Amino acid sequence: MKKTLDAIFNMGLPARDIKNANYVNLWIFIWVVSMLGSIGLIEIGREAQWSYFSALALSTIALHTLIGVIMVFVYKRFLSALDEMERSVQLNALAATVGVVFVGFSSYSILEKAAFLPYLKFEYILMAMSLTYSLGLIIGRVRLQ
Amino acid sequence: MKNRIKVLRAEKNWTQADLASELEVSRQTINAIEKGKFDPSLPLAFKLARLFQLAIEDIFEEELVTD
Repeated sequence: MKKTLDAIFNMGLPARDIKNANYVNLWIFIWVVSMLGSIGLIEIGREAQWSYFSALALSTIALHTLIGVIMVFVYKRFLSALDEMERSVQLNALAATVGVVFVGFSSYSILEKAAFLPYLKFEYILMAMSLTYSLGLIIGRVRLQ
Repeated sequence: MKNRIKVLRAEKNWTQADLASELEVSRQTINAIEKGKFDPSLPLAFKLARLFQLAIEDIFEEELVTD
């Protein structure tokens, strides 16, 4: 149990890595807020039939995408400067995430076409990726303790 | 890979946290290297060698697989 808790909270990283991780978390937060804000604005604009709806929709999507690109670069910089064992854990978790998404959702899409499963929502993919990534981090850290 | 880091560290009365701080890595990384669960990168191995004023091969020992 202690091993798992240590793996989740990952205490003991150098101060540089904690500072970079907080910076990544800040950009993730901004990205999520921009996503929710964009969706909200677009829904309100569409219902109210604003005359400038198209321009507003394109601007919010462009801003959200720009924030997303910055977030990816901040994460890449965090990964490059990260403690080398933690970097290895992160890369393994990312590999597992890509694998699960490719294999899991190719099978899902076939089953969906065969009408065995409901329509695949993008949110399911995001949730599966987040879950696999988090589990990958915990398992990787526990293994190396 | 086997190594003598735990012994060398004990000779200097350093904790894992002390060594981690010297090498700018996490304490967990030092623990995993000492236990042979994680092999350090070449730059980190050189840093260790410089810190203990030894050659890399005096700290690390290759585990040869025999048939």
